[in-house]
Amino acid sequence: MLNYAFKRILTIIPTLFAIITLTFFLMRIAPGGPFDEERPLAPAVLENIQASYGLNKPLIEQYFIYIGNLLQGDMGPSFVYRDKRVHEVLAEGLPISITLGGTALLLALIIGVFLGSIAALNQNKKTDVFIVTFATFGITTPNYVIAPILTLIFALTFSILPATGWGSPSQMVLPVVSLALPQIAIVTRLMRGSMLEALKSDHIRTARAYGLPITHVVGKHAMRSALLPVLSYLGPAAAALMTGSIVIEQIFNLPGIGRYFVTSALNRDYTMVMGTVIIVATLVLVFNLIVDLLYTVLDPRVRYD
Amino acid sequence: MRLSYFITFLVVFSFWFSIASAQIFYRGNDGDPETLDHHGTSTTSEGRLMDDLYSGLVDFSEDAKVIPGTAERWDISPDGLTYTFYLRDDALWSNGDSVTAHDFVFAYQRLMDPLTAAKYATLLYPIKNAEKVNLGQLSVPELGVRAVDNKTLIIQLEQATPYFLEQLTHQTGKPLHQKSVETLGDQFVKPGNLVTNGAYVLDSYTLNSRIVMTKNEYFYDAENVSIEELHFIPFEDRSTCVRAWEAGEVHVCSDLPAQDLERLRVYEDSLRIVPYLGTYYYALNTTDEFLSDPEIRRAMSMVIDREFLSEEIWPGMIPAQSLVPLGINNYPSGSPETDYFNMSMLDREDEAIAIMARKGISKDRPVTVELMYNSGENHKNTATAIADMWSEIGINITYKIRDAAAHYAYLRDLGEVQVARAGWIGDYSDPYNFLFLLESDNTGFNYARYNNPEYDSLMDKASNELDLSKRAKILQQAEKMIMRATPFLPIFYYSSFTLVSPEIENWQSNVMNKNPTRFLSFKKSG
Repeated sequence: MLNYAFKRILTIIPTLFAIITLTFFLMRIAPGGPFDEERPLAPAVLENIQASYGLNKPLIEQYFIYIGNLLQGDMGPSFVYRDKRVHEVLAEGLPISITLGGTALLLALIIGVFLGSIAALNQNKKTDVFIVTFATFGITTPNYVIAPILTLIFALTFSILPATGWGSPSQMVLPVVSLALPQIAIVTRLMRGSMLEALKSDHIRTARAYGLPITHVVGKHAMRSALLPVLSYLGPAAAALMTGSIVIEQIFNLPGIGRYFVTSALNRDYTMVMGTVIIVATLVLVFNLIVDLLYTVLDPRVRYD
Repeated sequence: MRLSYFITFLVVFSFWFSIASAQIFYRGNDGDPETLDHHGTSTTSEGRLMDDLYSGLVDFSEDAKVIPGTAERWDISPDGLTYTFYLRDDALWSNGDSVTAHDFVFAYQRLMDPLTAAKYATLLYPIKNAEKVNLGQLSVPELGVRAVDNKTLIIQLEQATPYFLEQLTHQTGKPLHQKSVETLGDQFVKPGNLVTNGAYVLDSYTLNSRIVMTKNEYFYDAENVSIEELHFIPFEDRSTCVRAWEAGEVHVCSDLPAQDLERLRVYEDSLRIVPYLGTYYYALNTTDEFLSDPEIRRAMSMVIDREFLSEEIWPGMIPAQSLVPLGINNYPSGSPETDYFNMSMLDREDEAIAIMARKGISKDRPVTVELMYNSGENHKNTATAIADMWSEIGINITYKIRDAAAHYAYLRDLGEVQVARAGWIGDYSDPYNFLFLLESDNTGFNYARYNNPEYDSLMDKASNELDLSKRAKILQQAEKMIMRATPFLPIFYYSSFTLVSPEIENWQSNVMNKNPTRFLSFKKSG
């Protein structure tokens, strides 16, 4: 397996390189540049600014300079936050997004797996109907509806939680819950489906026929195979959650990096777009690798060597 | 017994807590600055930070009038070309150094240095040789600014500029601590490095979270600065700021979502809607075959029901009847009246239909015109409503919508355009700052490509006129000319929307939307 992991890591590098190259050139096709604002700059000033960022050089030369700097760990200057380099901006926000996304993910995994299993074990009973209703509600209600409603109830009406900001544990509650709810719902539905499937499989029926206790059968045998679809979902979902959500960040005014995915593209903040793409691409590739490796742990039929 | 101790503790603690927390002023801002180097800044939200960190030669008063700042007085030569500023003896930097005329010379030279690539250098182009220095045609020391001694600064102008003092209130006119900029390079803006001479000094800066400032004890007027600690909190989303304000987490929201204004009226005096020094307009390309006819342009303006737009489509905006907004300085009798604004909407519509009929255009024989705007809910709603009004006079609209960067890049590069949305917020309070948009040599901003030598010569004449009332009359003539020709079709005057906590005293709303924190205080309880 180690051999396999090593091979996969080796393929990550050219994939990332291809993504970086493609993004670099695609971005430049978009009309306008980082300094086109409502108030146009005097042509001479624009020229000076572009020269100071090296934007007046041929595109191909800019590309090689960028790659050269990137290999040294420098993602270049941000065009929008001129006092900082892109990696500094991302380093400030990423821990916050990871904390937020990671907590939501953990919550989704624990609660979703639990609820999904309970629903499957009580198929078509009241508990099942209740959980499925909750899950459907969770999937169909987007963050930007849940978050302001939670704020209205807990911050503005009862004043028990803060409405905005980041830093204290109480400030984490509403954003984490808003971010986690749809994920809990998705995991619940996935888990319910796969658990039902697992419970019908031959080896589980055999185990139950032997009279093994239900907790043992579900907890040890059924859970293993039932977790596989959830895991497949969680790989890309983890990458998306941990890179922040612009909706949640804006509603709760959190200093994460989710906003940059949208604002940097709109502002033509070229280096920041590159930075965000690199982070997402890396996370997606890494999480997919982790998921594939976890498959071997959960499902003995999967072998990579 | 124990319970009473506990209650006493709670009372004392909560009292102490309310006092301690009351000292911090949480000020919502529109966003984070691009940089804290004021030569790299351009927006009003950055201007707010700079007004608190730095004191220029002149500053804003609590109601945004020009008052002496680091310069306690100044002389202007009779020809209006030489300004001599005398700096206060007690003007100090936040590290205790004296603020000298050399700091200003250094700052202005750095501003104009092409290598600085300052976005707003153009604002101080009235300074002698500034433009040439900025374009690299002259060396930096040739800029018309020099220090006679530590406390006397002479600025020479290219030509008499009656609004020069107004221009100096802008953040580009503020000084820099020469020593720290030279030794620290671009790191001089970091907390702990930044040396400022205003009422506040930078304490910390967390991106997208807050900028913390504390009172600068070396500030010359520190004894009258009431608020000790100030947190600027950036809100990209206006609705979020409103929620934070309602939860008591910020004292001020610097901007509000238009759709919430009606609901927020319950806060009465806390909600401030005041005219703002800006105009929202459509530029009509005067070189376009169809739009080159001033009568057609006039009909297009006539038929727009601006009252309806500002009531139903974009609440809070003010119907505009001129390019120069209301409440501007150096324009005592205001913009000239345009005749059709006195007519009823129905009459205006009839006349517009008649004009178009003479050109052979009617609802049944319409022409198609392309309207270009940058994406955004309010821009879209306004464009849709105006297209509907124009359909009455036989103009069918097709849309070209781009995001802001693409929209303005297109306009800048002089792409094919018929009608384009634009807006202008005054950098300083003077009608010239709006009327210059239509000068024929103003290629960057004259989206209408309006070219009228008569207008240009009026603007030149105004620039050379030192008598402010005579100058105002010339500018009125010029504005009358463009209102008749309608290369720009003014739609709204901007308004500023602010929520101010009742705990804050002396917040005087004004047309510049400037409220330096040094004049604010917390209401004394009890």
